[in-house]
Amino acid sequence: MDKIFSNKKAVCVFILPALILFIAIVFIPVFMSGYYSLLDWDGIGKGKFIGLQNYKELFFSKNSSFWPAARNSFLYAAVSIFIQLPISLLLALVLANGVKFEGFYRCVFFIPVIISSVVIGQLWMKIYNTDYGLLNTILRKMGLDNCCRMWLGDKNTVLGATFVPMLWQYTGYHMLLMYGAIKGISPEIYEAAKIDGSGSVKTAFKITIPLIRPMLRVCLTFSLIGSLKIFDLVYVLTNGGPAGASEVPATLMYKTIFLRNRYGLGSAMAVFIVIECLLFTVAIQKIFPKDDE
Amino acid sequence: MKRFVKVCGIIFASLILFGGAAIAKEKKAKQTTLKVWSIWSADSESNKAPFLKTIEEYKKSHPEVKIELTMTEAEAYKTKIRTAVAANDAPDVFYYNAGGILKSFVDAKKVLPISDYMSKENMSRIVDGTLSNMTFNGKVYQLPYTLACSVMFVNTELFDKYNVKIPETWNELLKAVKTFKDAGITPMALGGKDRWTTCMYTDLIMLRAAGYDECDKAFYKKTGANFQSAGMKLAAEKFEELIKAGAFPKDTIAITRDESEVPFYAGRIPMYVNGNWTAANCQAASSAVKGKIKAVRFPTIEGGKGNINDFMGGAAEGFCVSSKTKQKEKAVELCAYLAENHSRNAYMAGAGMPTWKMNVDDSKIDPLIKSIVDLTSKASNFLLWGNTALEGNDSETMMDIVSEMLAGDITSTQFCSKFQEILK
Repeated sequence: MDKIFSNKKAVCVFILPALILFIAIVFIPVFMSGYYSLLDWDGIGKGKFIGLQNYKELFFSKNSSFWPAARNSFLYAAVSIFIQLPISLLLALVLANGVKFEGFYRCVFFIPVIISSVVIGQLWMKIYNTDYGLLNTILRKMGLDNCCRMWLGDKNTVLGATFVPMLWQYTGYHMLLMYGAIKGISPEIYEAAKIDGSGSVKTAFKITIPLIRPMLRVCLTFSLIGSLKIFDLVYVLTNGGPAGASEVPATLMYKTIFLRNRYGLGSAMAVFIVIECLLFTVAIQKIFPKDDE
Repeated sequence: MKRFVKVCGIIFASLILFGGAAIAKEKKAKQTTLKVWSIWSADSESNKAPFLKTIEEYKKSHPEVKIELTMTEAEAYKTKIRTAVAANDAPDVFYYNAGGILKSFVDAKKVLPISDYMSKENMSRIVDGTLSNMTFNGKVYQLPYTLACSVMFVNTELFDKYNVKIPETWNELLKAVKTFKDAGITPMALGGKDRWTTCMYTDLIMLRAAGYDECDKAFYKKTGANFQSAGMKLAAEKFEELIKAGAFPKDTIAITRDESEVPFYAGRIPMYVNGNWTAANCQAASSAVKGKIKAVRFPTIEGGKGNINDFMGGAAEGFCVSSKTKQKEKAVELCAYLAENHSRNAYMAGAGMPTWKMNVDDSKIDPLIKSIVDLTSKASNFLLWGNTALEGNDSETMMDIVSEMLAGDITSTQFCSKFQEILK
């Protein structure tokens, strides 16, 4: 193994394909977007260089719909971190502790992850339908008629309504990551804890969670970044509606570029999303430093 | 190391071989293939069957040409075609809107000036006046296939059942709305999520309140355009009045056009303002409302400057040829064929009104479509829909403003002032 790692030539050759792909598909487009964001361009004709004016319009224009969209994406991030991750953690702890049909539950919780977001969006759109949707029908059958809402049509409920499919989809993913990490903990530690008289809750808090901290950090990063750049679910469910109530930066960017023909402004939004994700990732690294154990 | 180099060499060689074979195959196929993109992917689209028929007719008469047809839903199509055109990967012939929307392609030289490639004799078969929104700098960049207009479709059975007069004035409309609402029926269908559907209503309300001249100036941003004139303010107030009277479904802002039309086609909603293509669906063999729908002109507004014979519509869409096509003559020929023959097939199916001169057996035309043709024959003016006349960014702003009003987020004064911003 050491022989391969120390052979610099071999290392270069093996990394090269992935590096080329990474540069071509990720790096270069990001820099191109950065360049386009400095233009006044409709995406089809010729662009005019206008410097940072797009950013000025994005952040400071009083008509800008960007801040409400950014605020929505922060709400998604908060819900992801403070509701989805604890649920995933709880499920992972319960499953790793050993329940009947553990393998079956693992499968079932992971299924939403592999279903396409578009399918999930369509599914929940039908569940939320005001007239024949499952949710309203159940509420009516239970006699809670006045709880029925236009879930995706009322700007007061639309954000909350879109949180649910998003949480539902990726809970299984984070659960599986944490479950894997928990299973990697040596059972001797658990035996020692049991001998010392620690109950399962105490074990979970004092032993399991601290030991899977690196994985928790990974999940936190994925969860945060994923919800900041969420697009497909929101696009299918509400397309940012009604009248922009559930708009997120990614859907706003999509509309700005393709429907409003303002490629420059849309690119500025894209660059903002990239930088925002980078900053948050660095922040997470700082707040949860890598353990030296 | 030697073995390693050998293995790499084999991998690279096979990649090149397969890659080369794929490119060669593609090049061969390109010689006799024309790509056509259009909307009307759903079976519920009244234009789909006639268009597929047109394509089949072309294939029969031109067996040496292979057609690759792709159909996409209208809203998603906008993004798809713009991306393809921007990437210089556009299909040879494609559907597109006219007016301001087409202008952005013309300015960027992405569409072929068809008039340069077509004979005068062929061009003369096009009905006069239908090329006005497709001609820029004296050249024609698109060929029309339909003369569209929006009318109010009323379910005569429901009107008779509740003893309501089919409205010809705004007050009569409000009375009808109230009667139906009190009877527990949603008065007017509207799929607000798609936004252009809402514009169908606001365009006509503006036309009736502010009149043709003012609307023409405003929608084309000509000198003297004013979205805060007395007429426009009246239009905003009337639209707000209609919303507050509960005319539209309560979840209108969240349902698409297709979803909103289901109760109308099932005979549960008495009124619907939309394009004349709706007639074909009303009169389909399996339709529950066949024979029960009447097309009437949108009511006048008391105090408004508009005329009941002003129509929204015109030749607002057609087929274009990409300027990057490798077979200019063949593509133009296909484009003209599609435009002319679909014009006839769609008319026969009741999905449109023809824009090419043709001899069609009138008795075969569905009576509902014929009645719309009769209404428009007395038209005093045709005005292109606001969201087609306005260009990209402004078009989106218009659709957003009417949606905000529909959702109850803005007042009529804000409606006008937001529209006024478009003119800046």
